[in-house]
Amino acid sequence: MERPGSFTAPYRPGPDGQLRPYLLLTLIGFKQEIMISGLVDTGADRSVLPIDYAEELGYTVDDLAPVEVGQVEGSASAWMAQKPCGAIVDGIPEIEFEIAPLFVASLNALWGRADLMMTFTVSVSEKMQELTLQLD
Amino acid sequence: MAVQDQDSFRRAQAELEPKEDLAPYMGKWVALRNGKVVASDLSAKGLRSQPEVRPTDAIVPVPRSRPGYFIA
Repeated sequence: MERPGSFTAPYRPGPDGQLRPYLLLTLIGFKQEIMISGLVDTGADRSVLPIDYAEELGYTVDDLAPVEVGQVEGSASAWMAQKPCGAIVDGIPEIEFEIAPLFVASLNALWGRADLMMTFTVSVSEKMQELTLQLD
Repeated sequence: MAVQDQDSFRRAQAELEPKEDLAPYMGKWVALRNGKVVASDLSAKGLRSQPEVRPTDAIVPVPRSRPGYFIA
């Protein structure tokens, strides 16, 4: 039975064809809105985006601060947005929240805990291959 | 919230789903129109500058993937 304010979608295939909990968000940047598909990652402290999206969203060099981030393969350089952009989950336009992404030199987008998961309770069912967002 | 919200959520979440295999484009950015690749480039900026890419096309990175398990 569906709970009020609960949204469930099936896992979707990545570029390698494997099904995973990808989630489509629209980020409301300073020069345009962009739809971005990212992997829901409860292990990521913050949301992470490929660096090319920084310019796409309208961030300038002055809006980014260099930081070191830890990851499974060791540490890496990243750039932290100093101001947030808006975000909505596609299909749930009523709820807008803010994301101040970490930009990295990789092509993977990850939705982390500091923004998406402060707005929705996120759960995955590996058994059902489903992702659920619950409004608190 | 009503049941149709759940339906629209599922439909919206499928919007960027590619209708072709993106494996040949791993490591690049692709422009998708109606789920089909219309152009590719090593950078989003380079892709946007290509004449066949329209402002309404979705600009999507295609991460490299190695055989085996993926960990973020």
